[in-house]
Amino acid sequence: MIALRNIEKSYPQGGGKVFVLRQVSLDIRPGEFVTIMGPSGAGKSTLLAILGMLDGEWTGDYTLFDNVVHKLKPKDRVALHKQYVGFVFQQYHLLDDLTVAENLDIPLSYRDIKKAERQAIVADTLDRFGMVAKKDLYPRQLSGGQQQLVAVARAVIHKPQILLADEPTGNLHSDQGREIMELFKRLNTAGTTIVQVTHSETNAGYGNRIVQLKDGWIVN
Amino acid sequence: MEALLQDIRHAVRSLLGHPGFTTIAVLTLALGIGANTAIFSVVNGVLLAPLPYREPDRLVVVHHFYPSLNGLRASVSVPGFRDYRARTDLFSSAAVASDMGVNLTGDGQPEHVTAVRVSGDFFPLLGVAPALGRALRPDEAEAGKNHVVVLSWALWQRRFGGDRAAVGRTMMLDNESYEIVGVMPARFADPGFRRADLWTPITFQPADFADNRRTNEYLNFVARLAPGVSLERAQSQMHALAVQLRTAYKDDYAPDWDLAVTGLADETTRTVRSGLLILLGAVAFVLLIACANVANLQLARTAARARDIAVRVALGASPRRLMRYLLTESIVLALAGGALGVLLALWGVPALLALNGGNLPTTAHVAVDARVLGFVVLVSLGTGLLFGFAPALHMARTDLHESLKEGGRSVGHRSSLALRRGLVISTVALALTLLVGAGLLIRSFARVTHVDPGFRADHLLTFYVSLPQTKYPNDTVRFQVLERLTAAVNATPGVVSAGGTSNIPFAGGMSTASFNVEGYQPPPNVPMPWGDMRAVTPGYFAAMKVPLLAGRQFTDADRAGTQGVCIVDQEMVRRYWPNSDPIGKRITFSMPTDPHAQWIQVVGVVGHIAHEGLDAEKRVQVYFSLAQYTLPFMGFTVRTAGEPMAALGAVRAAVQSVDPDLPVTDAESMDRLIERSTGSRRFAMILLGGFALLALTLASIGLYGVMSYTVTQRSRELGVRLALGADARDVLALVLRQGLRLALIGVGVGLLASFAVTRVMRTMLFDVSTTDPLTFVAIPLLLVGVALVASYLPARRATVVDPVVALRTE
Repeated sequence: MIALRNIEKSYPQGGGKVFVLRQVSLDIRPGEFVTIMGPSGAGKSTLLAILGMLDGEWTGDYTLFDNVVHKLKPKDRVALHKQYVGFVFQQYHLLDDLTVAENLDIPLSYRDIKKAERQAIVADTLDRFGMVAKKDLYPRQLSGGQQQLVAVARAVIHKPQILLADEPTGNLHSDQGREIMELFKRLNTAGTTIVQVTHSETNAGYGNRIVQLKDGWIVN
Repeated sequence: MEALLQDIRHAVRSLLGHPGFTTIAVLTLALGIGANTAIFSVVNGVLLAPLPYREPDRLVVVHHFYPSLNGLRASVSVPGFRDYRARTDLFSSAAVASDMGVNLTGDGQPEHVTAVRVSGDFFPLLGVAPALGRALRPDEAEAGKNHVVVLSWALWQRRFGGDRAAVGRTMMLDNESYEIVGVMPARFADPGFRRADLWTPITFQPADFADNRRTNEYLNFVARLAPGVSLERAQSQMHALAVQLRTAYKDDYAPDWDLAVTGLADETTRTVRSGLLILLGAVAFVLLIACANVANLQLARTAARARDIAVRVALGASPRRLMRYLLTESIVLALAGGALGVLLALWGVPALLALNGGNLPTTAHVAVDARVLGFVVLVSLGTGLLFGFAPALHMARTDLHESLKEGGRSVGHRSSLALRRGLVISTVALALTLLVGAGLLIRSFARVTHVDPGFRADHLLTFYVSLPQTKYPNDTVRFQVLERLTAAVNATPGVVSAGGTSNIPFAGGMSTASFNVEGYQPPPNVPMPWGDMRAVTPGYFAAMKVPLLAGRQFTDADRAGTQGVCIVDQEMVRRYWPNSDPIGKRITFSMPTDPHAQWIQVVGVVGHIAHEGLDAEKRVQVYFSLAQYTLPFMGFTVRTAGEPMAALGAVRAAVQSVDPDLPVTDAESMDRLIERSTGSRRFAMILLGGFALLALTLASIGLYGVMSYTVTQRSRELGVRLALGADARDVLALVLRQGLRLALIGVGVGLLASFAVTRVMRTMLFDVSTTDPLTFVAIPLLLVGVALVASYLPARRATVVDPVVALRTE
């Protein structure tokens, strides 16, 4: 499903380069729940961004569902991203000026789905995530856990095959974090491939494989 | 005081520390303040500066006033001059003046100069002493003593090189010797604000006071109100006198004839006042837009400085002190803009005057003087407060605790953005209003320049020749020499044909009269027929290429002593003989019932021609044969084969082959005369157009700034959207839509404002309504187009937001 070979990412600094990722090779099979761990600055979030095709400045080979990502034009990468990937962020990144329902609608609106159909999907998702009562609230009117719940719902609303989560519980207290991880587990059981970045051993326990990164290298 | 000085010091240092911001803000303000300073210099010099006479606010002018002739204001007559002084106690002194062209001969080239003949009280009334010698004395009005002359400074410099010994010498005016008794100062302006080269005494004969001369209106009447007399009282008493005179001399005055008293200052600026005030309003708009733009810059900068400000508060600065500091900074910025604006105005004022091309009544006082500098200081202070207040207040209200906690990245950006959007909407609305105003003027100008003057204006040379009465004392010799002159000009190589007229179209001056049409009785409350009177040679219409529509041209047979004949224009036919053949119809200047009335027969009909301007109202035109109404001067209209002015040398030689002492004056091509007649319209159009363009530029910069700021502020949101699947097109559309929304709100507000504001421009428009649909559609479209371009660059930048970077910066 996902195959990375010798992925490298660097920034120019002074006369030389600073490497963020070095010769990263990694395979992820459908239905896996992979956790990427490592100290700060190890390159975890960068790896996640490359997997999600938000970052296009790297070298190496990347294949996703038989698509040779490293040879694709930026436009085609966006299309691939739209088709397969959902994102969850540590800071939720809900759009402040939009209600819960409108936030959920955003990914659908970018996928050329008709309005009536979108409304049905949003209603179904609100129901599935138990947020019907909160659909007209703005993000600032929600707790951190509720905001992240919306963010997860938004990430999976278009039924991506891969869910990428960057420290999804980093800003939540433990009960809220546990709820989110339980949700991830259920999504994974239902067939969604999940790649999460976390510092938490507990959260890593929800996954079935851990990839350790240090100074840009995979160390296990 | 010390705290204020400290604030100023810090403000200067802070501004110098941000040269990019400071340069853009100072330049924007300099453009706004400079434009205001330049226009105010003109307004100050023309409308506000006291006239250069003693107690100028006590000086008035009196006109004969004809309400039913479109409010015509005419000069006064000799009997009037006597009566208005003798039959009222309104004036402590009064004088009359009448200008005429005279030929100055003797040393050097003959020159045609403007002589103003004035009554004895003229100079004492104005209270201006000559720079050299003495003024004219009242007793010099008597025949035998009246060959004395006071020179203008300019003539004295031109003809005598500023030689002080010129006073006491003699000069030849129309072949008569005059003693130079004085020279007026350089800044002295004739109260008629016409070009005046010299002043001589005016002499009246007993016959001039006859009752039948009561509407022989050629004297400009200036008076000083007696102590305690108000303008209102003068107006009311003169009106009462007009009623008395009308009753006493029924045959001599029109039924609605009246007397109008106007302050000399108002009279001088009457024709330019509204235009100048509209321009002043327009530049005020430009300044408001500049303020909005700088306020926008300030807000952006304030947002970036939130942390600095928070630290100041943490260190004990009160909100009041903070406000004062921020306002001090704004005022320092505005004063710097004002200083640069003065430099722009120093360059701009002469450029304005050059552009105006002599359409202002006086420019002697137009300069960047102390009052203008005071205006600049006031405007700068006001500007500083205006654009500084909103950002300062915004900052004082910001939650500074949050700003310390958040590192000052995004604090208050929501309200700041709302304020900035409000400012952009205002600038778009103001710019639209100015653009609509300019658009209406441009449309009017286009309409005016497409008006058919009624003759072929190309390849037409025009000039005047005056015949001194001393050398050509009667009509017979005058007519003979005018015929010889016409023949000589006609025979000049390069001349196709030449005609003569008493009034060259577009050359200034008017000659009108009321008359009676045989068989036509004006309905009640409708004035008697009134129109332009011209004396022309037989070849005039052919040279001008004015079409003959019926009847015949004048011929050599139409001479003095034969049946008086006239040719009328089609407008005359339309009004008085719409359904009958005008040929053979008769008009008279006498009462139709008068058994001695001289009837003049219509022998031809020609097309109507524009005379005072392409945009002037249509008056009927009556042409007489110059042979039957000979004048001591003639205007030549000469059709040339080549460039008109190239023929001038040969034409002048032809004139002087008839009489070497005859100067050719006011020579100009007809194209140039017509162009000059549209000068004040062009001046207003170029200025308002320039200001509108400046406003458009500032508004688009403002919109660009806000959209850029928005994109920066929304980079996280844009990053999220990109992470959620938005592509470049989605982001581009999002930002463009936002820019367009601001522009459309601004356009909506601006359209409402335009409908209100353009009403005051009604008098400046020609053949275009104040709600001209084309202007009101095209200008908003232009503005929306510019807004889209201004939003496009930030929108393009938004499409390349790196979501990884955008999301990490949070």
